Amino acid sequence: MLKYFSATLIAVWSASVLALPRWSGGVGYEARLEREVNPDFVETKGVPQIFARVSWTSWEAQLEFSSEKGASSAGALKVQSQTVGLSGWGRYAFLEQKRWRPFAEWGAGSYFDQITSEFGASTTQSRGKRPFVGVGGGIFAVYWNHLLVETGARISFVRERKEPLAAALIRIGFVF
Amino acid sequence: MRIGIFAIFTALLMGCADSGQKCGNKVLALWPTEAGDYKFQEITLSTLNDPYSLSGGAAKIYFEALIGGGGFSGKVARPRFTRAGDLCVPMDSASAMAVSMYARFEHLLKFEASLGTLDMLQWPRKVGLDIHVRSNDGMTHNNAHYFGQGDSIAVLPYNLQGVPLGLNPGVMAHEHFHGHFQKQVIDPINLRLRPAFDAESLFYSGFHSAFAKATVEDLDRVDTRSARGLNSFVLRAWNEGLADFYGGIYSKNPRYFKDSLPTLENARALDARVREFMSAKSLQMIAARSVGPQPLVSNSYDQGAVLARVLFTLANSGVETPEAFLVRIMRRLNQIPEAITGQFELRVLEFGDVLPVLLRDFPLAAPQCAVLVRALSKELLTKNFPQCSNTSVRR
Repeated sequence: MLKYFSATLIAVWSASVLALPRWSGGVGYEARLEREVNPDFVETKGVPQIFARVSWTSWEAQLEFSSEKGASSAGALKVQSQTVGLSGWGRYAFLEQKRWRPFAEWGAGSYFDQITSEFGASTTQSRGKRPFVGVGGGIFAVYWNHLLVETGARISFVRERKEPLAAALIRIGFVF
Repeated sequence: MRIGIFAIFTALLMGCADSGQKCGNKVLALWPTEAGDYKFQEITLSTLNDPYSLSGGAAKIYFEALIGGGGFSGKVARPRFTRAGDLCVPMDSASAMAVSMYARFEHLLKFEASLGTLDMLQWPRKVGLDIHVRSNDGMTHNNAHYFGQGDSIAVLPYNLQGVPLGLNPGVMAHEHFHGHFQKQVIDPINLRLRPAFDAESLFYSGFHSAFAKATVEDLDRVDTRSARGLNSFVLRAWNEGLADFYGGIYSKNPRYFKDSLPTLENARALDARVREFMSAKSLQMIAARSVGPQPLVSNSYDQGAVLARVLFTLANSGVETPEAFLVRIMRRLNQIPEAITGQFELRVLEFGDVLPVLLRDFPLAAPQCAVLVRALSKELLTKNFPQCSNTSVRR
């Protein structure tokens, strides 16, 4: 996993010039398409996130943080999950002169899970992780030099899943 | 240039996406302990190559799948796991149930291998969890069924507060046994009763199968005024009783229904007092008074419970180990069709008529005879177990 982060950072730094970086940050919403336990059915799940980004002309590096909870039961069996996602992304934004700029991105990260399984008096807590890598793209614009709006899509390949995770994203933020 | 850099990095990332060790074959499953309570334990699945797709040598597990004449349709269940060290931890109750169910059938496979009865059935077994079907009695929850046509087990959704049916070892073993009875008893009887040439079936072969004669397990369509029709209910009683018995020996719990379906505890208790079977004449009287098959089906379960108690009591009477007695019973299942088919359409069988077949060559001393005296009428006892005729017990 460390090598993925290193590769991303090296790519960004190696492409940067002497331009001053611009920082931005904000909130986002990720709508994921996930196959259920019966893989013939697909469910959508919404996950909120916050992000921080630094941009050098067309190259950008972004950190994302997300949090989600889940609860399910069957009879007296109950399973609760709490997941924190942390990832780093390298991005390249095209068409520097345009208001709406398409971008391509790639990145890596991990989901950190805490699972609480209960049955009657028996309870067990487990901590696990699910590293992933992903690629994606989208389009963004900056209004009044500060208001960032963005939409995009990405596919993530999670180590503990057979199928990739597809997601659509929207973000809104402030450029400093 | 930029596109090229992006393409190279993308290829590198995607190429590395699958690297690293995935979650192995050790899973966290809800499992009964030796003391009989249920705890989350690490279970190693030796017949499952890939825990992300529940299809292996022991079973194919389906979740919320459709079921038809050929069994389940669609793909097998894909549980969601997170990895904690080398342990796969299910992330939701559906995943936990599905993987625990696979573990159960792997345990059943090993149990049958230890008995030497593995070759009596086809593996992997097909099992569905949270299957949405409606029983003939209208139930959509808290039940499980074996479908002979597709050789599949369907567990309906469970909404009580006990052990889910799919996790109850005795219940799963009960349903699993129905596969044995289908193959060893029902299918051969249907084959024997099917006429070699039937002009009627020639005419109706192009029409809906409703016109065909009911098979012996099709209780909704039998003619309850005929011996053949009523014998289907006798067969059902034997099927359910033997399944109860198998479940009790496998789970080592004579009251395994209690954990999931407490209202059935006493009715299906294997360690309850043995009582006499209902007579064929009484069965005919019930049939004459009944509207629809449901009262007769209920009666079949009741008489099945009597058979199960007889067998369970004999299994624990000290002649041999319960498992050895179970093997004895299972090896004699294929003798039932020959013993009864000749009379199947001529007279209504007695519920106790299965015992002489199952207990052939079983040594009967006073304790064993005492059980049979309680269960059988004097006439049946004298005819089939003359060595027990002089045993008297208080009923």
